[in-house]
Formats: sequence, structure tokens, C-alpha cells
Amino acid sequence: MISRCKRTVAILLCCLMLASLTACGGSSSSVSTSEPTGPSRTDLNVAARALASLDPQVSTQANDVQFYRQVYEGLVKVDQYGNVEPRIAESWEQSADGMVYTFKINPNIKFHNGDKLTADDCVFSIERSAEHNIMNAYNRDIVSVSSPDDNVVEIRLSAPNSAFMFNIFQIPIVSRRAVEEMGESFAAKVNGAGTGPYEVVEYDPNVKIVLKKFADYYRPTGNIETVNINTIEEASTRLVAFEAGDLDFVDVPPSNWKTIKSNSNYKTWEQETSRVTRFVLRTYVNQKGESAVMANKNIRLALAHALNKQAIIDVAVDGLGVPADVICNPKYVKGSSAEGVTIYEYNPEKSKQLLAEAGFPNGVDVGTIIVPNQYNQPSIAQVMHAMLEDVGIRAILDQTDATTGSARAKVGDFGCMYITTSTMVGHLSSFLTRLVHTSALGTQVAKYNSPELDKLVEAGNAATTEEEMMHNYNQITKYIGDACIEIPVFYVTTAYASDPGLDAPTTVDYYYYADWKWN
Amino acid sequence: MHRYILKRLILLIPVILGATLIIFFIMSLAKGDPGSVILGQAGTEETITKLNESLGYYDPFFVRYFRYIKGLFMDFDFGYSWKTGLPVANEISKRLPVTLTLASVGVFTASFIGIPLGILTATKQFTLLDDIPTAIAMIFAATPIFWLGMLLVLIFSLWLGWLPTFGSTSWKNFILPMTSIGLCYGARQMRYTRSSMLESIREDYVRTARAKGAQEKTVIWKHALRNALLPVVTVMGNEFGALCGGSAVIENLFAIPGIGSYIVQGINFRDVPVVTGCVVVVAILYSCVTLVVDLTYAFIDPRTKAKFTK
Repeated sequence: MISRCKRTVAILLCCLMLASLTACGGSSSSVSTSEPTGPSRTDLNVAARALASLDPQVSTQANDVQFYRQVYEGLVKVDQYGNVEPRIAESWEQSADGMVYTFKINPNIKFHNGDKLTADDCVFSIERSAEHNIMNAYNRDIVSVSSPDDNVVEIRLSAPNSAFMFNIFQIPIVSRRAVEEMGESFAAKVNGAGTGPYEVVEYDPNVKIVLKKFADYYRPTGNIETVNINTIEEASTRLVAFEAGDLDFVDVPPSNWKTIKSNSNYKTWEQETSRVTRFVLRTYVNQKGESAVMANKNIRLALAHALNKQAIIDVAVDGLGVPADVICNPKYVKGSSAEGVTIYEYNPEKSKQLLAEAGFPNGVDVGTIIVPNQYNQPSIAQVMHAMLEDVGIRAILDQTDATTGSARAKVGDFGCMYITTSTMVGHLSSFLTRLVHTSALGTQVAKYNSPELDKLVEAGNAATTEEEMMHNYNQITKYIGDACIEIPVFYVTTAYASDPGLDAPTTVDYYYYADWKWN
Repeated sequence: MHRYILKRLILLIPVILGATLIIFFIMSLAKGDPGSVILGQAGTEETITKLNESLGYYDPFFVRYFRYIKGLFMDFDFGYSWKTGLPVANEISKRLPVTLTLASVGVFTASFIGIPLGILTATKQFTLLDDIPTAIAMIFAATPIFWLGMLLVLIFSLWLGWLPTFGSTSWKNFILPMTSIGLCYGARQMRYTRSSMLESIREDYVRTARAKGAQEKTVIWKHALRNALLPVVTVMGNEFGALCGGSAVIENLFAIPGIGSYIVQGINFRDVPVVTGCVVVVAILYSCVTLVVDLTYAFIDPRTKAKFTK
């Protein structure tokens, strides 16, 4: 009996020793070999909202464009600083009068369906964009498009336009054959009509879209071979999926940022954007015949000085923002500059003094503030409201859905202010016409209605040199700043989290999976 | 019976006409036009007007309405989405099976939980077997379904890693939504069943059945329950109909592409063809469900069956 026990113990001890020897052996990677070790993965799992259509000329919603940029390309690419890079066009020339652009097409480009790209496809795509209202903002100056030969595209404009290269970047080039053969199903089925670094291999917009790296792509790319884009509408669901390991990359809502940032299992970073939250004041008599308290400039200045922008950022969006002094972020929007622009420092005492000078020493009722229920605008509104109350500016917050809020704002159906967060990317010309020019008065909220501004916008848009353009646009931003009708509050900072092994550079507007890689 | 069914199906036509008229009217009152929403910041007054004109947005109310009804009844055409330009019918046909699956498993789970517990609490009234389930049912009946869903995701997907966090491609994806719906709706069904059973077991025929020596199991399940089920079946039908159109919150939470989330997208984009198409489908479903509920009465209650056969 005792000897049997001893034998059993001995066998057990031997097994333990063998097990510990194996454990101490170390992983195979610590053994030096002559073969280099590659990345651990080649697939990527991300999430996005449902895609509207596979036709890239049907939607300009940010979520859809984020997808289109992976699959389709334009003649050129404009980076986040406004610099133009060659893509389908390898070079270009501008005529002396700025009205004719000639693009030389890269002869080595193929569509995902295997067809070689020719100038005819470019002409077809640009002419096709004119049929879509959505693309009108980018092609309205184009008078004609032609292809003198298979590798040259010539575009004639109705007038010089300093934003032309940015506009032409927005028009994706698609395969003529794919569009004509597929007809209506072009927008709903895998079409092979793009030239981008990734091609669509599976398409179910309500569930998942699978992209595969295009083998014949003409530029270098990262090591991600497959991208699985899962459709998840809700931001909180995307975050939970990321935390559960189902996603490798996610944009983090501000309310969850502190928790995610403190978790050392994730790689996290903040990305400054050109999205700007601003307060637009009503200074005109609206359609109902109601006059505007904000027509009094002293009250507007009092409001501006009552705002502590950093405090709004810290409290309402958990620090995810950068205080803004001009409408468009000068770091990223070509043509925008803060030089000479009036800056309104936080000064509640000055606010009260200005109100007293305006004839309201005991405060003033300014009416309603429209608060669209999107982004963090309700939180922003509450913080701002408290600051205004402190100096005696009394307002009523009117929270509504985004579409209704926008419709009401355009007709001035509010007393004091409309809070908006909008994306201002690329070229200032793209936005100034809509923002201040009288031709767009119907869609404006501020409704400047100023011939002086009109002349500056037209001169800036028609400028043929960068100095001329910058000078005119700077005058516009100074005018807007001095008028104090639109108060920029902060540029939105987007928070991202990813798997620590993923190198995922993001930009101020869109990111490109072709630039990403697994380490 | 067949004539009754045919009559009910024909009554679907005025139901659809009424539902579509109400939707058209409500959407016409809502501020915001599709052109502004679709074009967003890229839209100028000219392009917005042009897009709205091409969508027929500025046509008079009754012109738009009759054009839609004509397409619906003559060609079974639900129109094209203003946002995507794709046929609404195609999208609905993809989403409807998902919604029906969610609604079916949800109601089934609710009944599986609610009816037996309702019977138990009614037969064991004034005991702990009544008090505890009733208290728990009150908690779940008052719990918002999306909050419960998020809690379940946190526990079972994130902490335990047993179930997926989103999607609709596998049966595992439906466990958490089914549980959320089952617990919240099951609590309500339990309350209805309990109340109905308490009335039923006090009836004279139940006392007679006991006096005749029937087993308690037979008295409860064969005699009392059949009568008690009538209001419960009505509630089940209502819940199924509500889930068909109103499960947007659950669908968004679990990333399940159903009709509910499609309606919400349509409303946000002022996409009238989408909203109207979904409402027509939900109205038809609801009418069919109430027809099935009425026919179920005939199955459960011999008196109702006799009325049909007369």
C-alpha cells in the first residue's frame, strides 16, 4: 500500500516536472529563425451606419462618402490641408484665364470589373453627375467636358473658380459599361465600377458589406486585405461591440470617452476636425413679422462675452473640442484665416455693462433658442443657457428633431438663436456662397443680405492666385466676426479607439483603410 | 366561416386607405422637406427646389395621395425611396422576415413566461408563489425594454462573452432581443392571465367540475384556462402588431434591420414613400393578426364557433 502511494506520488511529480519544462520552453517566436514574422491579421472589422446606395453620385452624407472613398476615386484627391494630389489624373494644367482644365489620365488604371479606365469613363461620370441634384454643388460651373484622346480630359468652366479642384475631387469616376449594363441595379448590387484600393465583394447594406483589396490597384497600400463593414446604427451598440472584441476600430461617443481612454487594453486618440459648433443669431424680422431682439448689436456682443467656450467644451462634450474664433478651422480649411478677426473673450462683467448700455440693466428676455436633438447640442445648450442666465440674458430652450429644427431655422421661426454643428471641410468657397451670399438667402439662417459680402465672395471665388483668394476670404471672416451674428464656439474633436495592434491614421474628414495596417 | 374571413379581408381596403391618408396628412404637417434633408449642406435653394419638384413634393396633397393609391392598388407599387432612389418594396421585403421573426419569438417567449406564471399565481393566490412572481412582474412591466436590452448585452455579451452583441444572421442574435421582449411583455401577459384566471376559477362551471370529481389539473387546464385565454389571446395579438411596427428601439439597439428602424429612418429623412409603404405593410399585418385572433376565439370558445357556423 505504502509503496503504491509512493509510486503514484512519484509519477505525479514526474508529470509536473515535464509540464513545467514545457511551460518554460517559451513561445516559438522567441526561437530565432531566418523567416520574418508578418502581421498577426489581414482582416479588419469596423462598423458604420447603413449605406444609402452603391451609386456614389446619389449621396453626400458623411457616412456614405466614408464608404465611397474606399471604393471610388476622383480625378484628383484633396487632402485634409487642401493640397491636391494626383489620382486618376496623373497631371493637370489650368489655362491662363482659369476657365479650362486639362487632365492627363494615368493609363495604368483599371476598374474593379477588369476594364481599363479611359478618358471616356471620366467624361461620362462628370456628365452623369449633372443629372444628380446631389452633385450640383460640385459641377454647376462646368460648361462642357470632352476627351480629345483616350488619356486626356478637358473641362471648361463658365467662370474661374478657386474651388474647382476641390469640387472635381468630389465627383467619383465610375465605369460607363457598368452603369449602362446594370441600369437600376447599379445602385443595389455589386457593380465593379470603382477604381479605389478596395472592391466590394459582398453587399447587404442592412447587415454587412465586405471589401477586398483590389489586386490591380496602382498605388501602394497597407496590409489589410479584407474589410468587414458591419451595419450598426446606434453609437452605443458600436461601442459595446468594440468592447466585446467584435470590432477593431470605433468612434467613441463623448459620454464614454473617459472610461474608454482609461482602459489600457485599447489604443485611443483624439482627432481634431473641421466640424464647428456655432450659435447663429436672428437679427431680422421673420416670416411671422416678429422683430428680433438680437438686431441690437450690444445685446449680441453681451451674449458673445458671456460665453466661456472652454467650459462649454469641458462640461458638455467632456473636453472633446478646441475653442473656435473663426467659422472655418484655419488649420484645415484652405482660405480660412483668423488674422484680424475680432475675438470675444469670456467677460461676464463686460456682458452686463453692454446690456446696461443697450438699455437693459436688469437683463433681457431674448426668446427661444432652437436646440436640434443631434450630436451633444442639448448638453451644449444647457451649459450655454446657464452662462447667459448669469449675466441676465433670459432665453427658452426649444429642443426639437434635427430636420424640424433646420426647417424652422431657415424661416427664422425662433426668437434668439439656432445651435448647429456643421462640417466645414476642404475649400472655403464651397461654404461661403451658401453661408453669406444673397443668392442663397432662402437656405441661410443668419441671412446677412449684404452687397459688400456678395462682392467679396465673388471676388474670392474667381481669384486666380492664392494671395487674392486669401485676401478676399479673410475680409469675409473679419466681417462675420465683427457683425457677431454667427458665434463659432468650438471645433469638434472626435475620439477614436482601436485594437492596440492596429495602426489607423485618421484625418480631419475621412479615413482610408488603404493607409491602415496591422503591426 | 369562409364568408367571414373573406369579409374581413375585404375590410382591409378601407383600413389601408384610412392609414395611408392619415400618414400623408401627418407627414405633410411635419416641418422640413426631403430636398433639404437629402442635399444637406450641399443644397442651394435652386437645387433643393429642383429636387423637391422632381419628387413631386410640391404637388397638391390629394394629387400626391391619389397618385400613390393608384400605384399601390393597380401595380402593387410602393414607390421609390426619396433618399436612395431604390424601390421601397424591395427594402420592405428584405426587412419584413426579420421583423416577423423578432415579433414571433418575442411574443412566443412572452407567452411561454407569462401564461404559466399567470396560472400559477392565480391558483396559488395569497401565497408566496403569488406574491413573489407578481412583484417581479411589476418590476419588469415597468422596466423600459431598451434599458433591459442594454443590461442583457452588458452581462451576456460583454462580461460573459456568451452571445453576440449585434446582428441578425444567426439564431444566437435573437436570444437577447427575445429575452428583453419576453420579460417585459411576459410580465404584462402574466398580469392579464392571472386576472382572467381568477375570474374564471370562481365560475359556477368550475365548481361543478370539481364537484363532479374532476382532477384539479383538468379543472384548471381544460375548463378554467380555455375561458381565461380569450383576453390573453387579444393581448398577444396586440403585442404582435405593436412589435411589427414599433420595435425600432430594439432593432437599433441590437442592429437588427427590421421595419421599425426603416420607418424611423424614413421619418428623419421626410421620406414619404418609405413611411407610407411601411405603414401599409404594418396595417395589413395588424389586420391579419386581429383576424387570426378572432378565428382563434372560435377555436378556444365553442360558443363563438357555433356563431360562425350559423
